[in-house]
Amino acid sequence: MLNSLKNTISPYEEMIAYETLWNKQNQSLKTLSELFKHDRALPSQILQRSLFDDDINTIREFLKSKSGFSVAIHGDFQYPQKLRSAKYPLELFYYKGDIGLLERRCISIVGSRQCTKDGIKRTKKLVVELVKRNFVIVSGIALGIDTVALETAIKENGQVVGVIGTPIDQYYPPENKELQDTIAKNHLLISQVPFYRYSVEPFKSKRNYFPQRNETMSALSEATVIIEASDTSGTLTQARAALQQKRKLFILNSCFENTSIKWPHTYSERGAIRVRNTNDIISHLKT
Amino acid sequence: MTQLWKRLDISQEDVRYILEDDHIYYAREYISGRSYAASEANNLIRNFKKPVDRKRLPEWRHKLLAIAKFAGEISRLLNDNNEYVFAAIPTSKCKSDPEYDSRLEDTLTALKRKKNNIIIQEPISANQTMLPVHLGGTRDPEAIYRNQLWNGFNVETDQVILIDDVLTWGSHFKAYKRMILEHYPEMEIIGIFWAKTIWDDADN
Repeated sequence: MLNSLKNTISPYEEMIAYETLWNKQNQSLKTLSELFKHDRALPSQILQRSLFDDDINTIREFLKSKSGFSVAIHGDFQYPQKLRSAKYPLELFYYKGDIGLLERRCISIVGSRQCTKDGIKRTKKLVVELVKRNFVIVSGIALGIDTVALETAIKENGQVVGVIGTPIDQYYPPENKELQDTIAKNHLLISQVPFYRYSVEPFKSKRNYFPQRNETMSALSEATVIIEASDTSGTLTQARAALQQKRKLFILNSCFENTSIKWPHTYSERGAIRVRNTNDIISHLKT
Repeated sequence: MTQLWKRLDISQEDVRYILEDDHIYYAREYISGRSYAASEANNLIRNFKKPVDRKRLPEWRHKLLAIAKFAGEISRLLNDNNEYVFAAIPTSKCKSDPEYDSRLEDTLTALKRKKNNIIIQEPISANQTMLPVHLGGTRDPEAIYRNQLWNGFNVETDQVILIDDVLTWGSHFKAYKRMILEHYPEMEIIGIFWAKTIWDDADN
């Protein structure tokens, strides 16, 4: 009999098992993470002892057409331990590009899709300074502040991480296809969205992946900077996550000066740091 | 928690010469052409491949540490109650070359010190020095195959684990696998690579 090796995984089989677990009725990131919390094992091991593997053949067949990306699994050599700070840590995610970027100091820059001219100016200024100091810029490839932050960092020869709320082979918004492809080719692109579940679920529940990816972005970053946002902005998901994960949360002074919104004061009371200029941020990042 | 090695699956990952029946594991992804500072993987691989002309310099200790780390990580793949046969994939330089680097043999020697259930073999050796790929050398498995000398095994085994530092196209692995299978058609051949290259310049 041939000698076997231990401590090995097949990322492909783990992906199929994880997607099958995701596909269980009413499964959410929360219930999924609880499954792993109670039973610290690989997706394939959890699936083996569960009763809901009926879909595995359908899912295996569906995933046959998916390639051209890598799979990170909790326990592999390059899985980022900082993800474990998330309330519902990911056991598995998909990526394209250089996962080594996550070992470096990462800062999330987030804000409104419909941003102001001043917001664009402030984002550019901040990103230029952060890139000069070798920080990796993390953002969500949405329109507005995300796009400005990522494009500025790339233009300044910095490194970026794009975290998307769709499967890794899809583009949203379609206008940012070129930017997403550049990030996948020369930087790092991450998606936690399960391919199969996404393909069969209604539009309404697909939207949940966007705030979830903000929680991931926050966990991957030592700090989040909010450039601007309304009281109902999805950006605030990341503000909540950053504080919950004990990450630094910076809010620009201009947000406090905007009398039409309340959230800066709310988050300031909860521990966010009010910053007046780029140097303020840099000096807080030194510690 | 012991870290997990990944099995290469060609249905999802494209490594030029590797086919479905090739049995390969790797630990990390390595960015070709980037510096030590790019990532832990780059730091480890670049130190591991430090040229032998640095042997008398203080930086050489980084190479020795990388060798020890690679051996330690391989050791955690092995079950105590099995006996494993290992061989290093020969590097592009032959043993008589002054620049010959014994890093892979040294890794196996370090592994042997940790685990007494391994047997080191050298079934194949390079006939003459070939130009390394980064200096324009070939990645053609046929050319690599033609440059190898068959030494054979001096133990009876039906499995051999070949180790190498970086998997790029899989050309060396395929050349050695071919030669071993010509002599031992039933042999199970496993490849263990410390890192898999992404964004290899020569791919473009």
